[in-house]
Amino acid sequence: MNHPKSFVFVVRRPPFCGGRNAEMVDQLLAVAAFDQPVDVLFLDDGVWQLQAAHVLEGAGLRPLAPLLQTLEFYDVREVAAETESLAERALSPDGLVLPVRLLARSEVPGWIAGHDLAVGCG
Amino acid sequence: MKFVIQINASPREAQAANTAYQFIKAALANGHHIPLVFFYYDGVCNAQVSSFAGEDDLSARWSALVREHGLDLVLCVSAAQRRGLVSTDGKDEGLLAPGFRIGGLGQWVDACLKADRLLTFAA
Repeated sequence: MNHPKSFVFVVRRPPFCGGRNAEMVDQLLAVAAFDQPVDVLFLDDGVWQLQAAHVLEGAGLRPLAPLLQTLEFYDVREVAAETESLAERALSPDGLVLPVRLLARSEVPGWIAGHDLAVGCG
Repeated sequence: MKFVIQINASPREAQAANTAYQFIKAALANGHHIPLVFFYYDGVCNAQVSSFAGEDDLSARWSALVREHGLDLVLCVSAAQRRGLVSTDGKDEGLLAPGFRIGGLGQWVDACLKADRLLTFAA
């Protein structure tokens, strides 16, 4: 039996960049399926993923938001977003597709360091 | 030390795959263990044999690394299928360079749990 390890997935890419976001969720759910603690952090352009208004009907592109809203059912422990990344893009924490823990930029390194493994996405 | 390597970028997209290759060579030369090199996202394109690249063909260098060190180079099957590298039933691996094999995210998680470090190389 392996010792449990906590994972954090760091999402920095905007929505609709090919199939990368769905692949990120696949990887994240694989970790959760192994009963390992998983968190997700959105920063830089990754915070656009949390915006509710992403609907491109007819473009054949699948938004990530519906997938993100299912994370709690897979025991994903915490979803966090960097406050400054949201503010720089004029995104309000109230308008996101799911409740997130807000982290100041100065808190991010320490929060990531609290995990055993950090996975860069994309 | 045991390093699991995850490569997310294709050889022609960025420097990341070549950097990973150089890191692995240096780590092996210094006595470290690489139980798994996992190719995900566009990184699966590292397994594609190129008829144009000549001496710069990274897939050939990966294959040589497998011959010399017995590395386990695993492509995520779903990522490889999305990019047309293997057939949808996962059986036709004819486009892959020698030494690469098809696997899944479960192998990646398992290796991460046994390793000391995970290093991701992305564009």
